Amino acid sequence: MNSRERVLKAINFEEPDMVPISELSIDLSLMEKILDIKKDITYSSQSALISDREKERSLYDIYYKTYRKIGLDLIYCISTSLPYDYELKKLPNGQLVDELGRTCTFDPTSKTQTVTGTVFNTEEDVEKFLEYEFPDPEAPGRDYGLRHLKKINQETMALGFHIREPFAQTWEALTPVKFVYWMHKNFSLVKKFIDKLTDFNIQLIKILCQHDLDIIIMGGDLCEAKGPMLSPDRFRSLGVFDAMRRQVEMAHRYNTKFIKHTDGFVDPLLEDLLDIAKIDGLHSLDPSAGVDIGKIKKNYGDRLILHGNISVDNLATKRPEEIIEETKNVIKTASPNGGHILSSSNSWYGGGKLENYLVMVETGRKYGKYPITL
Amino acid sequence: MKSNITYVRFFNIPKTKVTIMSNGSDILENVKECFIKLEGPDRIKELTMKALDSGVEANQLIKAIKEGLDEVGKKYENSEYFLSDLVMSGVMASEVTNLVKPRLQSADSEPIGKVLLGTVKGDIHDIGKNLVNNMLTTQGFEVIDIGVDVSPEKFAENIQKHKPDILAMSCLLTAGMPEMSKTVQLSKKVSSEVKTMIGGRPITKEFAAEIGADAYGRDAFESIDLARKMVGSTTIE
Repeated sequence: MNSRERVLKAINFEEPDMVPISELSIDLSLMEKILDIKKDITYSSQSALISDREKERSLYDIYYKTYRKIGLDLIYCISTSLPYDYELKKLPNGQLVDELGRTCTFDPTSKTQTVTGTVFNTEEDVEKFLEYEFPDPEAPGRDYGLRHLKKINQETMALGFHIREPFAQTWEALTPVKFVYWMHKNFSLVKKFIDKLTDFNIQLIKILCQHDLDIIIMGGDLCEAKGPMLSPDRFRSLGVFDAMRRQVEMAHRYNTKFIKHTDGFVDPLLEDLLDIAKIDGLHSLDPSAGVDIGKIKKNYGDRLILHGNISVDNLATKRPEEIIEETKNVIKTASPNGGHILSSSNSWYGGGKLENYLVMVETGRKYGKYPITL
Repeated sequence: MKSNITYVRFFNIPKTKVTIMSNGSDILENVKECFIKLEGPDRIKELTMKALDSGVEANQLIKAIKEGLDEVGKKYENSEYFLSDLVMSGVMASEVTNLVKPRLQSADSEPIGKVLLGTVKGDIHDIGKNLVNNMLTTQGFEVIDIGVDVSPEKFAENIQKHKPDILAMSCLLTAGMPEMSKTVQLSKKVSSEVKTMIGGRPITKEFAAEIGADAYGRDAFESIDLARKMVGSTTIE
C-alpha cells in the first residue's frame, strides 16, 4: 500500500496497513535543517505572497523532498498562488500588503510572513475595496503551485490544499478591534466581507479540485484556548457555518474531502461544524486547549476524520520519551477503524524541537500498524 | 427622570436606560451596566459625556468601569462571553479612558503604577498584549508598550530607561518561552525592583514559577488584579 492509498483508506473510515502521517505545514527554517540547504524565499501559510514563480517552484520542491525524506503520507499545497503578473504591494517600511489588504511581517524564526495588520482605516476604505478592488478568484495562475506540486508528487503521497477561512481572513483583514467594532456598528459590512470571500473560495475550490485533490483543508481559527472567538450565535448570524457548507459542497462535487482546521477549544462548535457546515474532518484537535480526542472519537469517530492532537507545545518543550507516550496514546485512542491522520496539533514550527517531531513520526510508524494492538 | 428603552440591533439586548440623576449614582450604574452588556463604544462615550457633564468625578467613572470590566471578566470565565467580547470591552474601556484622562491629569492624579509591556522575541502576535494594554491603561496604569518581537536586551534597556514597577510579557508561540526566561533573568540583573508578570497561550503557572517570574496572568482580566496587587493598590479610589 503506498502513501496515497493509505490516506484514502483512512479518510474513508477503513483501516489501511498503518496510520497515515502528515503535517499541515513545516516551516522553511526546519525544512532547511532537514535537507541541509539554505533558501531565500518569502512566503506565508496565511496568504499568497510569492510573486516569483521560480521561487514558488523551489518552495514546493523543498516541501516535497522534506515530506518524502521524513516519510509522510499526505502533502499539502500550503498557499494559493498569485495570479500571473501580479505585482505585490510593499509599504515604505518594507511590509508586504496582500490581495486582501492585510499587511505582513517577516518572522525570522519560522522564515515566513505573518499577517500583522491592515491597510483599512475606515469603513469607507473597506466598502471601496469590496466594491472595486476585490480580487478575482478566476484570475489565471492561482493553481500554479498546486500544478507544480502535483507534477512532482505523481500520486506518491495524497495531495491536499490549504485554503483559508473567510471569517478568519476578515478578522485578519480588519484586525480584531475593527472587526469587533464594525460587527457591532456596521454588521452588514463585516458580513459582506465574509460573503465575498466565501464566493471567492467556492470559485477557487472549483479550480483547485480539477487537479484531483484528495483533501481541502481550511485553515484559520474559529477558537482560542478558552473557546470560540465569537459566540456560536454570532458565528451563525454571520453565516459562517452556512458559508462553510457551500464550500464543502463544492469540494464534494469533485469527491474531495473537506477538513476544517482550528486551534483552541472547539467543542462548543462541533455540532454546527458537523450538522450545518457538514465538514468531513477536523484538524488540530488542540490538546493544550482541552480538546479530548477520545471523546470526539467516541461521539463522532464514524463520520469525522481526526487529524492532529499531538500537542505542539509538548513537541516544543517535552522530552522525546514523553512524545513517544503521547503519540502512542493518540494512536490507541483515535486510530482504530480508520478516520485518523496522525499529526501535530498545528504544524512543525521553526522554534520547535526537530528531534521531537521526528520521534512522533517514528512512533507512528512503530505503533501505528493495523490492527492497533496498543 | 427620563426613561427610554431602545434595542441594540446586533446584540439584540435591551439598551441601558438613560437616567439623568442629580447625585450621579444612577448614571454610574448606567455606565457599569453599559459595560456589562457591551453596548458599544458610541453608547459608552455618550454615557461618559453625560456623566462628566452632570458633575460625576473622573475617578468615580474609572471605578464604575472597573466594576463593569470585572463583571465582563467573570462572564468570560464562565464562557458566557467570548474573545470578541473581551476585545469589545477593551475598545469601550479605551474610549472612556480617552475622555476621562484629561480630567484625571488636571486633577493631578498620578498613575497607580508604570508597566513596561511587550511580546517576546520570536513572536509577533499582539492581540493579548493589546488587550492587556487597554485594560491596564483604563485602570490608571501608565503603560509603555514596546511592541512585538522584543529581545531580552531591548526589554532590559527599557527597564533602565523607564524604571517601570512591572515588566509584563506575552507570547503566543512556544518559541517565545525561552526568551521569556532569558528576559526575566536579565530584568532581575538590571533592576532589583521591577516585578515580572507573564502570560500567553502556552504559558502556565508552573512555567512562571520555573523561570522565576513574579506572576502569571491567565488572561487580560487577571493581569489587572495582579498588577494592582504588585503595586499595592487593590482599589483605585
